[in-house]
Order: sequence, then structure tokens, then C-alpha cells
Amino acid sequence: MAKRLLTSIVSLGFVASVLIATPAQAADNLKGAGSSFANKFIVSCGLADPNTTITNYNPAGSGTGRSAFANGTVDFGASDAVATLSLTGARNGGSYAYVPVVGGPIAVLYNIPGIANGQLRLDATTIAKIYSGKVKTWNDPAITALQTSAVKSKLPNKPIRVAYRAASSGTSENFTDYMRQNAPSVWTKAKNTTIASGNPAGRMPGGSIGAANSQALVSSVKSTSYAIGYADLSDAVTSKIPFATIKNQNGEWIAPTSAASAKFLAAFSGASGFNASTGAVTLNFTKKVPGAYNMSLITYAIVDKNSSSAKAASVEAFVKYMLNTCGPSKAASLGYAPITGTLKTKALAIAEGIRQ
Amino acid sequence: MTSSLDLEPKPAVIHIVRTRGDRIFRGILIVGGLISFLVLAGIFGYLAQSAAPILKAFGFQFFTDSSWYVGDGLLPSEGSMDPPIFGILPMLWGSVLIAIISVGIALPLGVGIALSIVYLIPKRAVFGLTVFIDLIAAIPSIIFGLWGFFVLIPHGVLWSAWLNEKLAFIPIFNVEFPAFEQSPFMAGLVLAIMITPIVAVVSRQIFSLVPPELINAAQALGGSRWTIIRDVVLPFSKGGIVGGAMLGIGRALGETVAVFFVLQLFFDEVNWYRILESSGGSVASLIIAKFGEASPLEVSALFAAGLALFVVTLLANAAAAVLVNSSKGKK
Repeated sequence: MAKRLLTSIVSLGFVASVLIATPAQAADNLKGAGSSFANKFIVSCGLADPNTTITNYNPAGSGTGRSAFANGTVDFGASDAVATLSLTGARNGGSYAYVPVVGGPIAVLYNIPGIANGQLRLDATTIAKIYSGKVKTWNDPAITALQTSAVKSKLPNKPIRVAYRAASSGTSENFTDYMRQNAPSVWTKAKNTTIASGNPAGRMPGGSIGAANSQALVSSVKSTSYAIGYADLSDAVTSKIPFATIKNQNGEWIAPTSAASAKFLAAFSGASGFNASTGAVTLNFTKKVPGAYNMSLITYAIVDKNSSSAKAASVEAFVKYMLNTCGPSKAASLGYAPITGTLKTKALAIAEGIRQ
Repeated sequence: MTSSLDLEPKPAVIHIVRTRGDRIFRGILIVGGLISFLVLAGIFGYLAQSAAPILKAFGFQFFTDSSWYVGDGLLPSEGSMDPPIFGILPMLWGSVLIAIISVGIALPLGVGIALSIVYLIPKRAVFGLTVFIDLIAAIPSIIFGLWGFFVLIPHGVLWSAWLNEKLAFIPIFNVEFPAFEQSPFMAGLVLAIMITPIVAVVSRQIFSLVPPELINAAQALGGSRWTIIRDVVLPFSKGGIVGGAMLGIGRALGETVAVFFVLQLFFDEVNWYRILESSGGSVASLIIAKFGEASPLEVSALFAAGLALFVVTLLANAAAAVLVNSSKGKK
């Protein structure tokens, strides 16, 4: 376990480039950079796609991916958020688009002795109270009120050890946005890529654990009794750590699964949720979707628009492969949610416009 | 006495005839020397240029405020509705604090190792030990970070709890919340192990410069090993040891990844002295934490933080150079 964790930390967080063996008949070799959340998905898809070779995907973060795409050092970028780019360098004068390629749930992890996977129930308000230090112990009425009677008696009078991502990340941005939208009276500050900077209390609660990356966070929650944390399901799915069941806006208790997250994301294909010209999906975390897990995020591929370059054809093929083949077959087992339904159709339509 | 003037030897005049090879060699050396200077100046210039928008907007407050708020990513002069506030005092002081802690631990350790190598350990074992110490210096810092995270923290928490329990009446060992995982003390421990080889190597070289006749004389006077070390070796080597410690501080200030894994960053408040509290700062860790998702203005603020770190580290290294050189002069 330690060895695998070590390997994944080293490979995901700090070895910048992921090299993939070149198959015999390689198409154009593509270079990408950006979202660390989508790293596993993009790399797996690159390996599985017989027609594309991803020579290098650098999971340095969405911000880095956007600037690397904007100045033309990569063939495609990947970002967990949509931002306006000013194209320079090799891309000067070109145009770009965002294509939703994959999504996934953010799981709330916990380590309370005696409480098994899925038994702990939380809602957005309580999560926001925990992360802003308003709820300090596990047997606080705000938490016990949500539980089944079997779990209620097991919650100890122990301080909650709050684990969070110390480095800026798209996960923290979506997590804070989720709290902001669903519990605005508690989480009074706007979304932030660093939760410590965007905390309405001005600081993280006493006894917090700032984790260097997703893997370090999972490891910290695992080794610290009475800890709580949040991570992308794809980073936590193999850790055998308990995930909390979260109340959605329909009042249902939903576990963080690929299917429940896909259901939520698919609800944003309408005109109010999806901007067909930029490709941006406006996630309304308060939306009532039956059976959906609302705390979910989307990763976009950043691609050229109307490009005549040879690479654009390969990027188009790869984006379509991720949406059509790789997502449905691989996303769930890796802890991601595939793009489905009308949203997928619309994403494919944008992908169609990559090549001139 | 006038005759002595006649006896005075005439100074020989040396004519330097530079061959082509000499000239080429000289040219290479001059270019090499200039390049290192130009690189330093270039880095400073680039940092200063990139940091300029932030330094212009925030002035000296950038170094005395405690905040890292990005806002809407625009400056007030650009019509921001939600202006950012950047101030790196907690990070700057945190860097200094963990450097002090690490040197406080590494100095006695490194000097002790150097003394043992030079005076105590049989010559046959010295080679092996030296290689070991040099190997510690060669371990990549991410390895120290992971080792600190997985191995040191679980033990360090127990030591911290013990220190806190026994010595809480001393303010520096007091904490607000008894969580010891990511304190300046923990970061200082990891750094101490990283810089001990530097202190040991520099000290060993200084100790081997102590003239043997001084030691022989002290032995002839009946000095014990301890009194010789205390009264002859250490006073002679003082400047060099301090110089080694300053080099260590330079390394400790700039260390990034290892510290980021074992220190919790608090941007909004300065942890002045509670070394066991899970709260601290480090400029280098700030940069690694914020760079991935930074907006253009935030990147400029990170460059300004880098500039501050660059200046502090440069000062530490310059002080080290001065101290080491002045100690060589004193014979």
C-alpha cells in the first residue's frame, strides 16, 4: 500500500511528464498539459486509443494547462474551469474552444473508528460548518441530527481534524463553490482554488491538516483518527477509505459514484447550463436532479477552433475518442463520470469544429 | 649605514609573455566569471520586472501584511470590484523561523560530526563516514519530503507532544491546538537533516586548517582532548563554523518540496514563536502551493515573494562568504 501510494504521489504530483511508449503506427504525437484531476483519465485514454499517441501529459494544474495552451507550447490543454484566454506565441491570432470531456464526484472522506463506508451522512450546510470551524466535534447536534440512530450513538466527543488541499486545485475550487451555492449563509466567501485563502473564518479550523496533494490528503485522513477530508473519487477510489453519503437538493442520500455524478452533469445540457459557443458548463450545485450527486466537477479539453494544422485533426480524433469510447468504457472504473446524454452530443458538436 | 643602500637587492621585473593558449584560457575564465554574474543579475532583473505590478500597487506593505486574497484578479487602479490583498509576512517570517530551528539542530550535530571525523574516529573509518555524510547531501529533497511525511511525522508528533507536555511553561513550546503534525518544528527537523552535511563538511575543512603545532603545544601543556577542542580548535574555527551555518540557512530558506509536505501554511496570521503549533509559513512552499492555478496578477505576487526570498537568501550567503573568508585571515 505504502509503495503504491508513494509511486502514485511521485508520478502524479511531481514527475511532470508522463511518457507513454510509442506504438508501431503512430499518428501525430500529441502534447497536453493541465488538470491533475483528469490525469489518470487522459493518460489511460491515450494508452487505449489505437490512433493517437500522447507523448506527454503534464498534470501541473488547470491554470498551467490554460497558459500552456494559450502560448502554444501544447497541442491541447485540460482545465477544471473555463477562463478567457489571450492567445500568444504559436497560437497568436487563432481561436479556441472548451470541450467537456470527463467529470467526476468529489468524495468526502472520513476516519471515525466504528463507522463504515457510507454510514456517515452529511449535507452541504454541515460540511460548510465543519470547514469554517463552526462545528468542532463529531457529536455536535448539527451532525448527529442527520444520522440514522445506529450511527448517532457512535459519534464520539472528539475534535474534528479537517484535512484540505494546501496547494491550489480545481477540486478545492469546486468544493468551495458547492458550499458557497448550497450554504451561502455559512460559507460567505466566494469560491477559491485554495480553501485556506477562501475560508470565511479567515483561517482553517484548529487542528487542520494541509495536504500537499490529493494522495497526501487521502493518506493523512487514513492515518489520522477523527479526520475528514475531500478528494476526487478517482484519487480515493482504491484507498478503501469510507466515503460520506451526501444529501442532494432532492433530499435524497446519495453516495459518490460515477453513475450518480454523471446523472448530475448530464442535467446541464440545456440553454441555461451549456454555452454552445464557449463550451462552458455552468454547474448549478443547487439543482434538483433525482438520484444525482451534486458535488461533481467537469474537466474540459482546451482545443483549437477552425484550425488548419495537422495536429488539430489528431486532437479532434482524440477528444471524440474520449467522449465516445474511453468515457463509457473506462471512466467508471477509474472513479470518473462519463459525459452522457445531450451534453455529450453538444460536446461532440464542438469537437467537430476543431478542424477547419 | 649608507652602505646598506647599496646592498639592497633590485626588484626583479617579470615580463609576462602570454602565449595564445594562455590568452584563450584567460578568456575562458573571464567569460565564465562574468556569466555567473550575468545570470545572477538576469534572474534578479527578471524577478524584479515580473514583480513590479505588485510591488508598485502594494509597496512595502507587501512584506508586512498577512493575507493572500486573490479577489477578482484586478488591481484597484484597474477598476477592481473585489481587489486582491497580498502580504507575505507570515511566509517570510515562517521561512526565517524554520531556518533558525533547522540550524539550531543542525549546527551542534554537524560540528559534532566534524569534530569526531577530525579528532576522534580512527582514520580507517573516516573514509566510510565521510562518504555517508556526502550521500545524505545528495538525496533529492522530494525524498526527504516523503520520508518526513510518512516516517518522521508519526514519530515527531510524539516528541512534540512530549515537549509540549513537559515544557509548556516556556512560550515557544505552547500550542493553541494540540495537533503537532505540520509545525515549524517538524519542518525544521526535516531541514536539519538536509543541512547537517553542509555544516559538517564546512566545519571539517575548517578544523583540518587548525595548525598542528597549536594542538601539539596544548597537548604538551597537559590539555585533555576536550579542553583542546574547547580552547584551541573551536575559537580558531569560529568564523568558519558560523559560515557553514549560514550556508545551511541559505539552503533551508530555499527548500521547497520537503517543507511543503510537512508544514501547514497559514496565510492570514503570523506564527511568531509557537514552534510546535501546526501553523507556519515558507515563501518557497507558498510558491509551489499557489502557482498551479494562479491568475496573472497572482503570478506577479508570487514573483514578488520569490524576489523577497532571493534577496534574503543572497544576504545569508553573502554573510557566509564574508565570515568564512575573515576566519581564514585570522591565523
